[in-house]
This record gives sequence, structure tokens and C-alpha cells, in this order.
Amino acid sequence: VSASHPLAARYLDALRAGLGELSPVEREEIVGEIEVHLREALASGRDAEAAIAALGPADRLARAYALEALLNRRPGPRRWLLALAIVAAAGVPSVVVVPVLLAVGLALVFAGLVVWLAGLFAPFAPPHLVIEIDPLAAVTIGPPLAAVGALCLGLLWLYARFLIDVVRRAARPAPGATEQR
Amino acid sequence: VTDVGDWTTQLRRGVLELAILSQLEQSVSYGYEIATRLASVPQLAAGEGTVYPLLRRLRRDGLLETYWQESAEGPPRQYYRLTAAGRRRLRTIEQEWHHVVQGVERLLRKEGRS
Repeated sequence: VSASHPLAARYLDALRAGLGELSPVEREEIVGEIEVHLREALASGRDAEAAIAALGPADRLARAYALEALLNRRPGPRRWLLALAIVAAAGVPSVVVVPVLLAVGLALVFAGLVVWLAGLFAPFAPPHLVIEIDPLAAVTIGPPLAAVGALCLGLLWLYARFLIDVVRRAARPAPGATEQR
Repeated sequence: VTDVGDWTTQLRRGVLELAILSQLEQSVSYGYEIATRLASVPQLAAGEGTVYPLLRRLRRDGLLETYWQESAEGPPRQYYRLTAAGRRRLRTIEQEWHHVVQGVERLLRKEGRS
């Protein structure tokens, strides 16, 4: 269509020549959108010469395109894909680590408390309730048992925070990668 | 590379990006309309051509997306609209813009007094 107007055709050729660094596909897309622009301008009754002047010199336009093409790409969805991959990778051990730590931790905390309380109350238990436990041993063993349980829960907490931190860091754009111009 | 022309170019590019995003938030539009509308604002000093490379980058970065729409006057037109990321970006640079303008104006006022 633009070929019908020699000035427009010449402008588009100059633009294409200036876009040599870009891939052929990108080059033709760009020439195409400027061609559409000129077609719109002519269709709205503007003079071809004026429309081309308003676009600016073809080589300057080509340079502006090349500059924008060279700019750092924003991280965008690819970062999220990475985060997702990390979650997936962490998911496998998590299936084992999380329930084991949780179960062992809760069980030990509970058992430690029960043993300790049993030891405490054994001497005062009513006669019909026989607690077969050495009170002294129970009172000594209870707290360390509960402590090991609490340690398990603590480790679980640290593991969860580590996972959250890793995912957050992966999802965040690398410093300087976004706005370096 | 570090002449005033380069500084002005960078400044205009940044402002033009803000102008494009803000225009497209108000209403969707197609290339020719965006280019001529922004070129008609003398303060922007944007030639009609300057809009296109920016539109292209903003789309590549996922801030804009395009779709085709029939036109009464001729072939279908490719329309641009903001994506959710584009809207977020607009809010951020809008804030940044007010921030910088306020700061610079305060500095200029101080210098004017002394």
C-alpha cells in the first residue's frame, strides 16, 4: 500500500536499512507498524511529506528502536517460574521433613509434659490410681524430652522461614537488572 | 555521550513513558492515535516517531498488551491497553515523578531566595 507513495516507500526502506542489528522478524514488524502509521496519516488527509517529517529522520527512528531493543529486559514472569521451580524442588524433601519434624516434635513435647506431671503427682495419687513410675526419674526425664520436642518444632520453624525467604528472593528482580538505563 | 542533548533525551524518554501509560489507562488506543496525540503536546517535544519504539518495549516488558479491533475507516487496528503490571508501573513512576518534581522545586525556590 505504501509503495503507492514513493516518499513513504523510500522512508520505510531507509528505516529498514537502519535496523540491521535486529532480527529480520523484528525488523519487518517495525517497518510494518511505521507503514501502518503512514497509511493512517495519508488516509486522514495529511500530506506525505509532512507526515514523514513528523516521524523524524529514518535513521534516528531506527536508532531509537535499536536502543529500546537493547535495554535490559524486565525479569517478569520468568522470575516467577524460577520461584515455582524452587518450591517444587523444596516440595519433595518438605513432604518428608515437615511431617516428621512436626509429629516427632509434638509427640516429644506432649510425652515430656505427661511424664513430668506424672512424676510430680505420683506421690500424691489416690490409692486406687496406681502410677507405676519412679517419681524422681520421671521428673528428671520429662523436661529434656520436652526440650528435644521443642527443638524439633524450632527446626521446623527455621526450615519454613528459609523456604519463604528463598522463594521471596527468587521472585524479586535482581538488583540493578530492572532499571539500568 | 554525556552532552546536554543526551540528558534531555533520557528525560524525555522517561516522561514519555509516563505519558503513554497514563494515556492508555484513561482509554485504550491505537498506534497512530497515541503518536499524534502525544506529539501534539508541545511540552513533551515528542516527534510522532518517538512513541513507537517505547510502545514496543513496554509491550515486550509486559506492561502493555495489544488486540485487534475493527475500524470504520479501514483495516482493523491494533489497540494497546495496560496490563496489571503496567498499571502497577504507572502508579510507581507517577509517585516517583511527583517526588522528584517536589524536591527539585524546593531546591529551585531556595536558590531563588538566596
